[in-house]
Amino acid sequence: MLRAVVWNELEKLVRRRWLLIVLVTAAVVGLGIAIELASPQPADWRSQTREQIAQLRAAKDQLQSAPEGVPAGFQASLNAAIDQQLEAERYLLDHDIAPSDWYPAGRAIGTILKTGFGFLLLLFGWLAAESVAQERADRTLGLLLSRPVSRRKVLFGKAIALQVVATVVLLAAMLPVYVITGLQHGGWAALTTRIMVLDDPVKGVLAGNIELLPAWFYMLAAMVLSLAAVLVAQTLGLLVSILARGPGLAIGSTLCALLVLQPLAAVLRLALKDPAWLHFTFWPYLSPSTELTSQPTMGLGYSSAGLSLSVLLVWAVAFLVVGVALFTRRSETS
Amino acid sequence: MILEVEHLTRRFGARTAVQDVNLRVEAGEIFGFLGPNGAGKTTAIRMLLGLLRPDSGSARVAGFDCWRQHVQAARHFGAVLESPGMYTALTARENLRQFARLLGGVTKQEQSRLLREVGLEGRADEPVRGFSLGMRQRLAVAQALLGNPQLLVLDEPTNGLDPLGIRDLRELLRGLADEQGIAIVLSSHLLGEVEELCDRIAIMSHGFVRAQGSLVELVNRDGFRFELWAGDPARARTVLEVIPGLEVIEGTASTRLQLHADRDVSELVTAILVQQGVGVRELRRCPGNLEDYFREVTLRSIEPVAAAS
Repeated sequence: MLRAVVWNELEKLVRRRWLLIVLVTAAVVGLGIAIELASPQPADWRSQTREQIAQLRAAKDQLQSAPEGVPAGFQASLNAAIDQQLEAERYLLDHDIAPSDWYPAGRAIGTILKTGFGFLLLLFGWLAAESVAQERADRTLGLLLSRPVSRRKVLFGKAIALQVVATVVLLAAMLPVYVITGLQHGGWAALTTRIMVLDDPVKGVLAGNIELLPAWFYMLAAMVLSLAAVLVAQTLGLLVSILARGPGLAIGSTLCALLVLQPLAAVLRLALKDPAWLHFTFWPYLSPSTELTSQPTMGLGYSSAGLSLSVLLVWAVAFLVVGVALFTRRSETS
Repeated sequence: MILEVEHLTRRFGARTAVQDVNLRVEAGEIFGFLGPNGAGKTTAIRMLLGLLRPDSGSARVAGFDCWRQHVQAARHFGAVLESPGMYTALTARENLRQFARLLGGVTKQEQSRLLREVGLEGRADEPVRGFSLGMRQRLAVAQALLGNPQLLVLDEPTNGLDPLGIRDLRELLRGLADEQGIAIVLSSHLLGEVEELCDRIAIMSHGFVRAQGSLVELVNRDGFRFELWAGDPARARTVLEVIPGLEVIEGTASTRLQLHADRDVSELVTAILVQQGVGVRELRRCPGNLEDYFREVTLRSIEPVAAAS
């Protein structure tokens, strides 16, 4: 029965919103590719790494011949930091490891996660928010619920159908980019090479702060983290859709929440000096780009991926459980 | 007994939408909820369909509670809601397939047959967004008939239908009840519709069932009236005056007698007159007036009226 409900929901969703889904997906892929093309493309990550090593060595030499008056402690700590970076860069070069933001496929996917993923999150929030509320407004919900199917299955069916569409859209956005850019720049080997990500991007490229992921695993991690974030957006949208009186209100409320909560998390992080409770909200984890970065930046790193995934899944389950509890008890009067 | 409703009550805040409704519907019977707008018909029907939770009482279809055992109960009924929505991006055939999937085991041939029965075969593959209200209503009837339900529940089923559509729907419903033994519960605020179609009715007002019974019983609640044309009116009067509960009223024509009885005595009168050798040219029961009764009942105070049957 659940399969029949999922199939029905997929048919309704795709037939009703195919144009919106295709347009947003195309826009996200197009935006990612445009930014990629506009950015200076590293011809060869190895030569770039060698260049960086040379720059670090030069910086170290400069530091040693620094004028007197520079505090000895400061000089020593700078030296240690440069040594750590040199060690990390040499390690990457010696072991033939591409940092993700240099490696074309990793970089392209990173660009999509950084730029277009937010739009995809809003798209899936929208689709979830209208799923119940729109049926109520269209007077199809009464007919659907008068049929021999439990409300729990109706809701699960909607959630599964939304997640299936999200998986297809994310695969459509990422997989071709991964394959095409990989093949263009390095042949088949580029698809199986290892990609570096930072455990803590705030600390930068330092020995002990890097993780080496096979390219396929990098792709999989990007998909899983993205799908978890989408799942939270969708279950939140579904919950709002059950509660809201009309589809406009449901969509508006969900989009507002998704637009406001991420920047709010960043502001709270800075203002309250990264409070512990913030790590148990889903807000900081809605953008998976910083968890898979090889460039020093603010935000979470690869070491937070497990926590991120767990927190997102717990919130998604919580939204779904509350949604089912409300939906199965709610009287449909309209 | 396909439908049993006992003490069904539903309130919305301080307002009582449905109060202590009791009724039973048998196979092959057409039962009508008649009442003005806001009487509680739709609320009662939504409780039968498991869309609204009753505050107290229960509605059972084929022995299954409509709210607590909704999935089992819903296997036995099909429904058409007031101004039903359909999935407008899908075609009529796809809409039907949506609901057929939820039932399981409904063949494509059956879906096509239903589309043909409601007169949508020619437009089955067009998107529903281009359909008129009447066409959507007919599609809703087709989806309600999927899976051969034992009970059909229709809320204001003729809304949006043109006169021909209304006639076709009436014929379809009558056929379903008479030929397939499907029980039908419908709500309407149209007296004529209920009068023509229903075997029994419940008149609702302000959430209460004010009266319930067969149409004949309700419109003749003050007794049955007959007109008798007899060969010998004087002798007929003498013979009939001995029947308990029967009163002979002076007729306007010398050969016609007006009779008033507390029950349907047409067969008894004919039998006695024939036995006594009085010729009977014609015995006709005067039709009651549902409109008058409806007006009288719905204008009464809030107190419920005992069921007529």
